[in-house]
Amino acid sequence: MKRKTIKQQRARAGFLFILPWLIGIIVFFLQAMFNLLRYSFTNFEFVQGIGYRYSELSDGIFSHYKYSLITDSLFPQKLTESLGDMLYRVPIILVFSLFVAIVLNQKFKGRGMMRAIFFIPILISSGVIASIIKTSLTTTVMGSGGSGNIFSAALLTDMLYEFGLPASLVNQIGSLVSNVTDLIWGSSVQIIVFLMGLLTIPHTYYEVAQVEGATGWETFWKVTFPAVSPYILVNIIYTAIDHFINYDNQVMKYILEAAFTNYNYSYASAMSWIYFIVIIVTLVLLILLTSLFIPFKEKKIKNKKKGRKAF
Amino acid sequence: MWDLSIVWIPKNFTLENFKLVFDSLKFDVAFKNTVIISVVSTILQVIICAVTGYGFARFKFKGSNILFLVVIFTVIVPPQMINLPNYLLFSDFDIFGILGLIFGDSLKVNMLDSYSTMFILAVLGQGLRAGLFILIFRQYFKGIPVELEEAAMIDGCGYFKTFIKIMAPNAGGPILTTFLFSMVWYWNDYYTMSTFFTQIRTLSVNLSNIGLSLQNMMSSDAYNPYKVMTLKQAACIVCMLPIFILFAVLQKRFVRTMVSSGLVG
Repeated sequence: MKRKTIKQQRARAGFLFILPWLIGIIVFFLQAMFNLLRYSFTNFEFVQGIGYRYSELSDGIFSHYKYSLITDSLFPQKLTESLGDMLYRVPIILVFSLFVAIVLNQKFKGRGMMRAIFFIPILISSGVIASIIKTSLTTTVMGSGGSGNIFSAALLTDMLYEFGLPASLVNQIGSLVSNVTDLIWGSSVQIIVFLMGLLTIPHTYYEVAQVEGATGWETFWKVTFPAVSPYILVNIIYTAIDHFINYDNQVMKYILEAAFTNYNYSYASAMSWIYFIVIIVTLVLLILLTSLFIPFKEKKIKNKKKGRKAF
Repeated sequence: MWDLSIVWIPKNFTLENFKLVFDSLKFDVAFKNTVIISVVSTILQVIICAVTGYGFARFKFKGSNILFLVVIFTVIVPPQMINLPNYLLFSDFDIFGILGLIFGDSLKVNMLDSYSTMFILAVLGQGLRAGLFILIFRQYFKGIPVELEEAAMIDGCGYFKTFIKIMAPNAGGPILTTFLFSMVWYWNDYYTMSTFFTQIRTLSVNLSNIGLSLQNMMSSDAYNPYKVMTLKQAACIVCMLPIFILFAVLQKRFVRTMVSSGLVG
């Protein structure tokens, strides 16, 4: 019997470690994705008694895709709206969670309490409780038939109009203020991630900055920001994914409606494949963009160390 | 009774609402179901994600990079869409038609409406947001120095013994966080549960249908949208309370480990 090399042994052990997951991924994930693709190329329907059946599409296997992108007026619109929402949600959530993380990193009385409070949205923000709380808040504040926002920003928008800001900008700000609960609820994990980054900064850095006479603004950009910058990418990706696969997402709602209200599974599968592809492309673009603009930690720290040695 | 001014302190306390809510949620049965499903699935899921994460963190083998890309892909794909094909899969369980070919159609089992559906998904690493947990564990195990394992190996531990004796006890932080997260997500999930189960009702499924069941329980003259709203809020409190207590008990450790243990990323 030939003995295996260490490398082969390790490969075998690693394979055994992931084996249960591998079976699961093949049976429940890849098979499901494959089936979705198959449904999208055929006409798939439930039949009483038999279960379900496929039938060939009369006008080419891509007709569901063509329909969703060209004939359907709602799907492309919702898709672009969802992408646009993401574009303004991501930076706002980032800035907000960075701000809160910095505040929570200061020493003050009741810090543990405050941290716990900001983490609570994790407990409720997914699922049915959040939706009930949201609807009941809207009905209490606005009366029945309210516009769907928890806070009314009328005073603020009026004020901004008086200042002579363009209407489109004012409307954006207004909707932002009205949806502030959404933003807070969507940023609890991001706060934790930033807090992690902030905790890696040694206290001495701030002392040095203080001794050197840096202002708070300079300290933020020179000390705090480089430490959290590697976490910015993580947070951007997390926020984007969270936005895309949320139950509240319009596209998701539309697809589910097509599948479970109108029982048009093939069409829903086609739309969901388009949606997957859009999500993947967006994420890749986001990653490329952020890695272009935001310097990564390792470089910065090295530079700093060099600088200190020279000093 | 329903004056328009806002009342911060209720004029008279009553537990009447909670009684009604308990009845309409069918609390006893639903609570039992929810606890069984979420606790067992969570434990299975945490174990399997830790094992898989360790496998990805420490071992290189053919295709391991591609498989890791698949993990990331599972995080991106909305779980709602996967549920429909899986529903059909569970309604007559088969793997690419292979089982049916080998054993004949008699082996096809209807696996809907049993707890085992959720357990199987969890134990094969396909539970709710399992991909995220695998990422967390992988990241954590990558950060632990290799020397620890080498020492264990020299002392005569095999790969699996090393994992159980050395690595798992060290991973208390991420285990706690993933346990709590997964618990919360299972507890709150109503989408997957309502797809796979028609008989087994969990708290969150009942909560999402509470408007209807309240309508059935209340006489038509007592029915009042404002009253229903307060009842709904009472129901929310009832459903959240167990999770909230769990969070309150673990809060200190949870927050500390989440902040220090390198969660996400």
